[in-house]
Amino acid sequence: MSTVTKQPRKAEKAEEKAPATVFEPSILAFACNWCSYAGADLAGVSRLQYPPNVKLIRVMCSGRVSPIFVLEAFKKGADGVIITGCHIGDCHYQDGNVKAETMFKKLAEVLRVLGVEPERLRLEWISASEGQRFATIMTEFTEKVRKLGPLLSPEQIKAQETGPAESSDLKELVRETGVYQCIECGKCTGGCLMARFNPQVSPRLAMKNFFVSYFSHKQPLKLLSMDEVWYCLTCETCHYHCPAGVDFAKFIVWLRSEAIKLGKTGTPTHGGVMHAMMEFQALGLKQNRLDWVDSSAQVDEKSDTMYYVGCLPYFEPIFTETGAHPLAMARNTLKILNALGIKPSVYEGEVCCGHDLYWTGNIEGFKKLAALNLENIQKTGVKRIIFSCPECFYTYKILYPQFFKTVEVETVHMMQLLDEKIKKGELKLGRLEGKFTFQDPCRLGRLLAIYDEPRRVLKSVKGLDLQCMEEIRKESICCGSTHWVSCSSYTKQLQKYRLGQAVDTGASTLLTACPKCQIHLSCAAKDLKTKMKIQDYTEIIVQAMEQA
Amino acid sequence: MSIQLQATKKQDPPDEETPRIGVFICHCGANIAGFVNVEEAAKYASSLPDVAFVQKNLYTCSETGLREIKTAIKEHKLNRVLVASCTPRTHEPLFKSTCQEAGLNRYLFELVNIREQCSWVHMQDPVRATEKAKQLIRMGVARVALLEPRQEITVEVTRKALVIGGGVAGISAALSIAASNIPVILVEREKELGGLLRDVNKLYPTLGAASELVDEHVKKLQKAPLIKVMTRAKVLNVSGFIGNYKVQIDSAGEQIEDTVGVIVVATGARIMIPNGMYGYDGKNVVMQTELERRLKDGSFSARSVVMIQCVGARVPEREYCSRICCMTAIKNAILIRETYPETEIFVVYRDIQTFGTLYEEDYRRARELGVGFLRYGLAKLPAVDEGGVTVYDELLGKNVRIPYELLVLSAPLVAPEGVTELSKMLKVPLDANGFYLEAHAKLRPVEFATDGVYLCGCARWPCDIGDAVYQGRGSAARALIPLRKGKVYAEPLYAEVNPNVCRDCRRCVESCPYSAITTVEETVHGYQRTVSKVNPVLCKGCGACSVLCPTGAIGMKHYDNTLIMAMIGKAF
Ligand SMILES: Cc1cc2nc3c(=O)[nH]c(=O)nc-3n(C[C@H](O)[C@H](O)[C@H](O)COP(=O)(O)OP(=O)(O)OC[C@H]3O[C@@H](n4cnc5c(N)ncnc54)[C@H](O)[C@@H]3O)c2cc1C
Ligand code: SF4
Ligand code: SF4
Ligand code: SF4
Ligand code: SF4
Ligand code: SF4
Ligand code: SF4
Repeated sequence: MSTVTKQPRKAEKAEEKAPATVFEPSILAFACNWCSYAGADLAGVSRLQYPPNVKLIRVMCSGRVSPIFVLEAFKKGADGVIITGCHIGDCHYQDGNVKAETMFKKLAEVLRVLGVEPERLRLEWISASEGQRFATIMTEFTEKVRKLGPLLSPEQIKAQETGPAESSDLKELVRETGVYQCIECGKCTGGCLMARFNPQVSPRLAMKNFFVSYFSHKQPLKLLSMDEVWYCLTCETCHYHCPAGVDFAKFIVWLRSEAIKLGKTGTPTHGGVMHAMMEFQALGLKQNRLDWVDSSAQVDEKSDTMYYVGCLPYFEPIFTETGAHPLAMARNTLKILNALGIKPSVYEGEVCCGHDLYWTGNIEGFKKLAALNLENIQKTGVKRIIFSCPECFYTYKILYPQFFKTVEVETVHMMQLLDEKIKKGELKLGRLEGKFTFQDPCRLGRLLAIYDEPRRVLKSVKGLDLQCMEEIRKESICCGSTHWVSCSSYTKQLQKYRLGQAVDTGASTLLTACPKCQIHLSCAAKDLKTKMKIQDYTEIIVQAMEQA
Repeated sequence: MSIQLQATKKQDPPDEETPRIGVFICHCGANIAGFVNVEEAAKYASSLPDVAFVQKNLYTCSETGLREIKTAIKEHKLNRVLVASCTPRTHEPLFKSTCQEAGLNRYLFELVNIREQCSWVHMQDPVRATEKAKQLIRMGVARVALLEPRQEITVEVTRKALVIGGGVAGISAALSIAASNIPVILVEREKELGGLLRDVNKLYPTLGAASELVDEHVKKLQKAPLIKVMTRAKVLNVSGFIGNYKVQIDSAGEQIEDTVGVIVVATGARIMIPNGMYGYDGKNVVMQTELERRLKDGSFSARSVVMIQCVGARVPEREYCSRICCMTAIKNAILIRETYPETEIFVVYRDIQTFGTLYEEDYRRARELGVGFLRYGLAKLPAVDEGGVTVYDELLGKNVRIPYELLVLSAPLVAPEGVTELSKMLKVPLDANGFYLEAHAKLRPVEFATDGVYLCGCARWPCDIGDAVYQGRGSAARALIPLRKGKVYAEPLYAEVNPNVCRDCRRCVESCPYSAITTVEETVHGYQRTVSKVNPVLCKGCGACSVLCPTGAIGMKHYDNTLIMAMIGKAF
């Protein structure tokens, strides 16, 4: 019904040919109630004309504009988004606009990496008396965005409207995850990491509730509270404890996909930005995900080995305030690979592996990302993919084959590669004094049984004193969040407990091998004011390399 | 326990009814209809989901228009109303009340602005203006369908005030409040009332005795039975919020607890002691207060006096001007020249700040009386030796040495002891210099952002008595609004924490400009947890905390993410 004409934007092409018809961009403006909205009113009263491309949403304060609003606007068809508020010093709520500015900077960085031109997002201060300024800015902004052309093509927008996800065959699922086999022994609940801190959590009861709902009411979710569906960390500890081999975590993925169909999602952390950013990558825009590659790093576009980076370039701007440095992992990985004589390719067309969307039951979203990645592998013809992120590794290795015809490609995690190369004496490591302890990532550990490699790798650094926490390997404790939902006082207690175990070893640094372990544990350490240093293990390896 | 769910698709209204939305589109004469095809917009509106009724009005805000809304609500059993007309800034309250009169909760109403932000600004392009009006209505419908009924929040106000600080500002505030028949507790930490004025001799610009002024104030206090004065007293603890502050006070060992509706902060200032500066020794090199004491008791005898201004003021560590020192120096210089005409006086200054007509007059008079003024700059500070001050005169371009028998240092007023403690207790901010920070320098100068807490006098920044008095009275006038109403109302647009997903990180607590969020400990199924809680009375609904919360625990009443996301979803 809109008269707006849109030209499709080719995913891989930067410049656009001038469209024949005049392109009418869609602009969404957020205006604070006290200044900018009043400024817009004054423009009206003064009959100051500006293009009708601009639509306004009134919010109480510019500081109320959550990044998710902006991401959602761009996803749904905005070609430009402008946030307006009172001038600094004039905020009706003291300093809401200062908060908006801080948020804006982070958001702009995420959007830039996503491939949204920075000019499409704007922040302006417009007072209640600046009607002319409002009209001028809106006109200018519309013209600027007009020149940029559409962000998404109508097809790209349409493609997001997925119909109801196909219902997985329940019988198949029940068989696959083994829930039928449950003998109600309760060992899952006894071992469940969440149940330790949240007395209402019980995987056994959840299954029971499911069965009764399904068989007596024909509605699988009827008796389940949404907590039961969303608290689970999918750490798979219960699976490991279960004598009947029930895979509860997999089963919960299915329950979640059913819950989503009913419109009941869990509470996403970080304002939902994480999931939105992942879904955004599936739109096929040309991302800017390789800016972090130092000029000294050796990469080779034609290499048959690819380094799969994952979401690190996105985590970086969002989580620096926790003290985590997700991108350091990527830089270090390249350094190590180069030292091993490997010049991998890093690929701008890479998208998120889809791990988090899968575990939150967004199977369609997961499949879109997986398909894009698999297509890329085929296109580039790589033979081997090296992963630094355990979750990406697990997703490629285990989940992709469950949904797609497997692509002929070797997948290796850095820990495996390092282990092999160090054994062969191909990596020279120097001395590094210090007491450390190591956090098993659940995807690498419990889900893939890679326990010995990290220990061998770390112990090969002379002088490095590796201490064991009380619960390790299969018994290892989760970092607190696997897929950005349900972060709470319960997960904080879990993290406190884990950090306590780390402190008890006498180590000064807790080494992580998963970017999320690093982020969540850093966040908790900061919250709890723990002295324990959280560091990615690749930093230690690089330091040891430099000592050689 | 149940996690508050964020509906991605559609949230059922709490009354379990499906929304029946009435859409009223205003012509505003030709103001809207001249540029927007109202007919077409109305047809479009009726095609939207959940819309049960659509009507075009010539003037929706007219008697007829309002009557039509009321009739339609009843006849068509509407449970949501959307008006597409002009700016909500003027007409929203009117339409809300109309809904209320028809028995519909006033928060089940939404206004879409198709005049100021559509017809009036897209006059050249009626086709696209109409298109935009339709889109705005579509967005509004998406929002109004999800709205929930709400009740305005009312809080009873305890008719009693606490004034902290018994200087002229605090006394003035207490007297003004009591004059409205409201009891006041006045807490002074020293033995006597009067504050800084206890150390002052005569007053500019009147030259009356400071002690007289203090006595006069104290007498008035004694005659005010509603004021309970507590000296040598300390506020130990404050909790609660506007209308209901629980306060704990210790007065000379005796502890009392009471409830007050408002709190006025009048804790004044103290003089910075210039230890280690310009040979300060309290004997031949003294502060202005010591000079005032000597003038008062007659022990002054010096035949040459030099005063150095801005000692420790307007320097990088203390950038502000203390405002009273120039006047104090000029006052004392005049007094000396008049009483001891043979005494030579030099004022060594950086800039003379004598604002207003009376003070400028004094400055002129001091010059007439032969007081010497010598300017110095920060680049070359005066050098003091025993018996002389050497000043680099920029005009002469050389050093000038002036002998003295008494050297008087004008040191600035600084924040008194205990401000940090008190500011934490009251949850109000301090500026970089430790003075209390008002809500807005121009718009709300005598109150804090936190409702129910006010400030006046030197607690805010250095001021003279006149300022202290009218700020005291001003803060009292502001405090009397809730005290006399006996009630405060708050719009039900507040933040709410879902305790099941709060991890006690306190980002929200630190970021709320109104100190509306506190942490509470609770036990749920035997599990102890600490979570944040919003006081809906104090919360102003800015929404900053909800954006900052890392776990997504904070929802905004009436402006929740779901509502805004629904609008975004329908914007394109
Ligand atoms: C040397 C000198 C000369 C001056 N001469 C003049 C003049 O001639 N004319 C003029 O107009 N102005 C003059 N002033 C300025 C004048 O003194 C101030 O304007 C006035 O005193 C301000 O009053 P106030 O009530 O704001 O603060 P204050 O006088 O500082 O009173 C604050 C009171 O609060 C009390 N208090 C502080 N903290 C607490 C607490 N936590 N709990 C309880 N009680 C507390 C203090 O003990 C004090 O009694 C002069 C100032 C100085 C220093
Ligand atoms: S996967 Fe982990 S958190 Fe989930 S039920 Fe099993 S043990 Fe508990
Ligand atoms: S451990 Fe396995 S068998 Fe035992 S209750 Fe849990 S799911 Fe059932
Ligand atoms: S632990 Fe911190 S970083 Fe991790 S999800 Fe929770 S709030 Fe976010
Ligand atoms: S409601 Fe607004 S737009 Fe309609 S007639 Fe009244 S002033 Fe005009
Ligand atoms: S919405 Fe604003 S005022 Fe309300 S609690 Fe949050 S930060 Fe404070
Ligand atoms: S910011 Fe969110 S998680 Fe942190 S204390 Fe506040 S409500 Fe809880």
